[in-house]
Amino acid sequence: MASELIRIPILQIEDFLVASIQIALHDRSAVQFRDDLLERIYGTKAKGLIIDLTAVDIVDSFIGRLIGDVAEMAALMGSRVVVSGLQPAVAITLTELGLDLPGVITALNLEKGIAILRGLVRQEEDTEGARP
Amino acid sequence: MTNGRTLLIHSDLDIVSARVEGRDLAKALGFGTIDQARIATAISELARNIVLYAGEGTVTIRVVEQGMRKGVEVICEDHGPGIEDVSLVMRDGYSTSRGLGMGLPGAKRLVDEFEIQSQIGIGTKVVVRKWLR
Amino acid sequence: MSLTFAELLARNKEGIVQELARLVKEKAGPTYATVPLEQLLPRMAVVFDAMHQAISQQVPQAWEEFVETTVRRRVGERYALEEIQALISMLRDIVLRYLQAAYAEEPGQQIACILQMEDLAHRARQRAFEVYLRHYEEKTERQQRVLAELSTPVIQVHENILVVPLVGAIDTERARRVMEELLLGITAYQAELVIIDITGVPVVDTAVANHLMQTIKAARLLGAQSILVGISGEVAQTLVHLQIDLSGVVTRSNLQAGIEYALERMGLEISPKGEELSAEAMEEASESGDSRSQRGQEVSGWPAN
Repeated sequence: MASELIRIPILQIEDFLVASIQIALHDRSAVQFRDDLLERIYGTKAKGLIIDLTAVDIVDSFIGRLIGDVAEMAALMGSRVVVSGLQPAVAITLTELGLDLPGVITALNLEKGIAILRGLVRQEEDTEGARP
Repeated sequence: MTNGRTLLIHSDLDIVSARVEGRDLAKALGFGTIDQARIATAISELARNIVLYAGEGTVTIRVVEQGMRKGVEVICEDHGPGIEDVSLVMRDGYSTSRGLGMGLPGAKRLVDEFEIQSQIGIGTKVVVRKWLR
Repeated sequence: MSLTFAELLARNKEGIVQELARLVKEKAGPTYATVPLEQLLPRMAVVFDAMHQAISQQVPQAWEEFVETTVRRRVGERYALEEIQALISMLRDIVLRYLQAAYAEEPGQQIACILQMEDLAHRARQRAFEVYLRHYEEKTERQQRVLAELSTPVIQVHENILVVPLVGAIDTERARRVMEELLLGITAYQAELVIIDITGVPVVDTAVANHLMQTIKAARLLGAQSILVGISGEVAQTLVHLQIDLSGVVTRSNLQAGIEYALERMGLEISPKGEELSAEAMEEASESGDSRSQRGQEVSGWPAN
């Protein structure tokens, strides 16, 4: 009997993608999530992605590394990744596991995450858009 | 009345069940949210090792007492290939977030007591404990 | 025909209660001494009734519970435990005398009753003591918890800024508590800037340094930036010697400077956090010879918001 894969919905807000994890992800669903994210980033040419973890209370090394991988791959596609709403217990366990996700921008909550992405995108446009 | 539950682990779904079970027991015992997360995460790491390296095994989670103090004990056992050099596996690749390997040093940091026995061809047994402060 | 123990007691209730009240008022302790006899009599009667019931119905547990309830009412009062223990002994002595008189010709019955009485007295003393012990254990635990919280305060100085002043030696346990309190504070206050002030920490060894780094990393995962202030010259040397990587950690010499930096950051456009901030740490710290005179006074000099 095939187990059900949980697909996390990925929403689009302005130029960004937003995914909020509401349930416990087992490994295969997590991998599916990663693949879905990368596909959407590629498909929409999104400038940024926010993964909201406010509702997540346990994150182990598998998910931790997965998020780090997503950030790296997204960066290659020109997209920044922000993780928002990480809970204290999760932050501590990740740190103690030795995973501090250096390539990932972090935000206290979803709103701040979006503000950060907007700011980043504006900065990039400012530097890129200099006309002679 | 027996104390503790033994869970059969052979898929990623079982990993989630095991860590939720661990978190619930820790919570019932009076551990704070952060220690609950530590216990649950440690179980997750160890259970994943069972799935990845042995294919199948068991995780037993129970309450333990030692004099005045109470805590949680988790026994992870499998009859997998075993680990050739345990000391190698326990070496801390702390700074390498990319490092694969069994994540045992990480799990060890999350708990108070950590014991591991392994023999090639026979299997591996990891016992961890965390005490209420 | 001889009476049962319960019957004997019932017959002599008034005498026993009167004698008990008198003795207790005279000798049990200062609190009882101040109670007028008329008030003491009914109270001793209640004690008698409980004991009588335990003996006639053979339920010592009810007696124990009675003792527990009675003691709990007075727990924490000075002398209460000694007085209650004295009362129990007095009651026992009185009853024993009645037993000896009543069963002078029946040693078997006498012994049986004496044993029963001794058992009740013993249970009462035991239970009274347990109630006291539990009360003080809980009190100590509570005090320790309060102390623990006091020793790891997380202070909100501004809407978005927290300050964690660390004072004294920091062991592993305390470091862990600091980290947990800080992270909970960041979430509770939704503060993006945290100033960790180690001015008051005399010694920073590998363990403390590592805990600090872990705390800073964990805070970043939540979305908060940490600012480390109060690194003395000696501590700076230790950190360099231990090869602690402080790149990516913002440092300032004292709390004032830390708060100024935090306010500056809040005035800026939202910019990437935690990525490109460079380590000005060592230069700042080695300048601390100047700020040493300011250290320790800064906290009280901090203007109220």
